[in-house]
Amino acid sequence: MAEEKKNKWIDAVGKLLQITQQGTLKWGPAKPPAYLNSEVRDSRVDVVYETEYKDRTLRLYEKRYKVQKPNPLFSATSVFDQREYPYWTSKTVLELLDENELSPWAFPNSQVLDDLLDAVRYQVSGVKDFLNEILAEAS
Amino acid sequence: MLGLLLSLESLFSWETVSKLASVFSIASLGLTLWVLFETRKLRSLYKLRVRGPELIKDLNKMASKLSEYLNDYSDSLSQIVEELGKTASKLKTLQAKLRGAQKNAVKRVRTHIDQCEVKPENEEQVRMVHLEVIKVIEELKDYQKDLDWER
Repeated sequence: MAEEKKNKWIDAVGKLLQITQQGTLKWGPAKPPAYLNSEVRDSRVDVVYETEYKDRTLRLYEKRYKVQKPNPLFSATSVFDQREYPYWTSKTVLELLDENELSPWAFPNSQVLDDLLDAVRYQVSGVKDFLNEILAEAS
Repeated sequence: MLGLLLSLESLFSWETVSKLASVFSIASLGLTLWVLFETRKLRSLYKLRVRGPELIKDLNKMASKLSEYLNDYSDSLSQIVEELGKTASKLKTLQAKLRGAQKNAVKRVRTHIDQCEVKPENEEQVRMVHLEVIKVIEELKDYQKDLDWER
């Protein structure tokens, strides 16, 4: 059941990925809101990408954060886990904002969010057009 | 007293011992089968614990690469075919280390890949396969997390 629900989110983000890659959905870079860069929570966001979809705002960004050593009493640390703590890692976050652009709701984390972020960066940087210009000039 | 002796004699008769022996034989066969099943389960669990994270990481990379090619579908057909081939082969390796629902999920995705014809008019189908690969990766990641509690 949980798997089915997760698959539904993957399909939804997959749809966003498709229309982003096909150029129907346009994203733009924006300055991250102050609360995303918290010294206390050891997290950093350099840039966010936003778009309007069905009268709602979607915000996408890569969040870098510090992971502290988990308490062995309350977590299933594996014997195969040989990493050193604390360490920095990152995750992609896709949020759906309300009309006031407050109380964001985050989509469940999955690989497809990373793919969407890559597609958005590809679109925003204009790689495709740049490539076409170079090739047109060369021929 | 005589009655007691007679019932004791009948209790230890060859017939009773033989029946008892049959029951124990059947029980030991059951136990052997159970041990065999558990050993096989442990073996595949161990194989997955050791090789699983690496294989899932590789699959992640392949799914990302596939997504990258989908940025420019019509100009990346040959790269997509190559990447899907690599993904199918990696899934085959992974399938051998799995059991039950996860094995079936991987098998299903492999079938989708096999049936997917990468041509200009099939973009939707290729996108569907890409999402199927992501779904199976997520399922396997969750399964790996569950394994952490099965130490």
